[in-house]
Amino acid sequence: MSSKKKVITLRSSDGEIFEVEEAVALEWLTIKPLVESGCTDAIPLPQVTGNILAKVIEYCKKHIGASESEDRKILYELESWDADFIKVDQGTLFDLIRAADYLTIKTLFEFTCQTVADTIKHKTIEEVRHIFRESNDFTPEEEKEIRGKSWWLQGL
Amino acid sequence: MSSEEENLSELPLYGDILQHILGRLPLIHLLPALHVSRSWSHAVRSSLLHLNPSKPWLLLHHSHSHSPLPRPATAYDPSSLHWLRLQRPACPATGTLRSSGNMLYAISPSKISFSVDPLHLTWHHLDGPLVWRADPIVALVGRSVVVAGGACDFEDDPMAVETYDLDAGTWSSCDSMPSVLRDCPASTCLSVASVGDNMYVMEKATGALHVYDALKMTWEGPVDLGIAGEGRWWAIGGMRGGLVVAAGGLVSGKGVRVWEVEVGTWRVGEMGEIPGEMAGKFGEGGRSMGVCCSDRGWAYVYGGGEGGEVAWCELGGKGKEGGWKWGWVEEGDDEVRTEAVLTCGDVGLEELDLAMMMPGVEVHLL
Repeated sequence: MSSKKKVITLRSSDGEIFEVEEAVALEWLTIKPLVESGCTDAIPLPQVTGNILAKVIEYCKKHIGASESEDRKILYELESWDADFIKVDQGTLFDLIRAADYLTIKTLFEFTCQTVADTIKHKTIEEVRHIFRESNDFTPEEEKEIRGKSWWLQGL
Repeated sequence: MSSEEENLSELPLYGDILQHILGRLPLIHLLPALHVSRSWSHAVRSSLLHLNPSKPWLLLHHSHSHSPLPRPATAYDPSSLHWLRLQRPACPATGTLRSSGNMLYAISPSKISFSVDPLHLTWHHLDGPLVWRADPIVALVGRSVVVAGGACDFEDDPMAVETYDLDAGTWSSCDSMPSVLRDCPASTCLSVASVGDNMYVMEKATGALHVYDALKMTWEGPVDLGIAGEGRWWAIGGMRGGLVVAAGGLVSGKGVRVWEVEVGTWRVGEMGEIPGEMAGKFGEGGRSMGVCCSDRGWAYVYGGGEGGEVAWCELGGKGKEGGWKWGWVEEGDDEVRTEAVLTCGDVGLEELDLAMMMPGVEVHLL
């Protein structure tokens, strides 16, 4: 028993149970104190659904130890793994950001934020509004000011 | 998944998360975000305030003396490490483009044109001074434009000084430059900074500092800063009410030493040294350097020769105790640096946004 790695139990908002190695859970700063206190009950994560938690765990398991590696081959492999990992629909991407923020997982938060930032580049105002479901709440007067110059309405 | 959960996953991103995302974008990509909605506009501003403050840009302007066609300027944004191309309307100035601190100017027999805005989009024109000058030093000091020396050979006094009062719209003649500057009273030999009501003039070859008081219209100096023996070529800039002095061709070492100088008390504090990795850096060939600064605690120090390196220096924190950091400006297009005139511009969101509204202005990432 003692040689077996310690496992932490997590419960998603929709009641799914997940088990992760303690080393992985310790990277999640929000639950770190609970893990360190030796809590053996399932830790409830009321803001993360099971399908998102599964993705988060998948990412963290892959990254633990590997992110700090100096071996170029490992880093290259990790990069292409990340690129596949992040090929998700936008709802999932946003959920991953929120989960990484809620659980305070720095690497995943930065990676997902950068992914979204990259999608904003070269987008027009209208495209950004559409992607982010933002509605235009500027007054017509404020709008008019923008219309004067149109280069970014068509994109860079 | 229940419909409720489905809705949850469609929640837009906002607040801190949105700020974090926007904090990863260079200034130029933030402009559309600024106009998406009120909350986005707020997030853009907060992110610039708290996460990714913009830093003063380096601008490389190209002289237009042989061509009426506007040549785009090149800009370096040190917070995103991006080079940009800045297309502006044709510059209405005639004559060779020069810089004095962050002022860009061109002088012809009949007029002086100058520009002081961060991206140099607006030009002001003055009727030329009485004395015909080829290469004077020029500075905007308070509400006066000071033009000194550089007079053409046929003029009586090559060191004549004239100031233009921007409010009164008139030129006045002032005390000539001090006679110690007689060998070369021109911008090729003198580095100039404008701080408060004074113009500071440093001899590029010796580091000797002279002060022109634009209110009293009198000269003072040379001021002994106690560092004159340290380098072989010198440049000066104005920052936060004081001076930044840089010396190249160091007697000890191969880089550039940079000091902050308090004006009046002449207290000199060494900011640090930028090591020259090879002798060619910092004007070993051109034997000259330049400095341009921002009051936000930022300076660019550049070699005067073709292809000279540019280093940035940042004063940490708000106090002088904050220490300093420096780095090289990553090289862009080689051609770009040749024959360019350099200025430093506080280009923030508002400046860039307003610039974009001007006809004929375009900015692209390179």
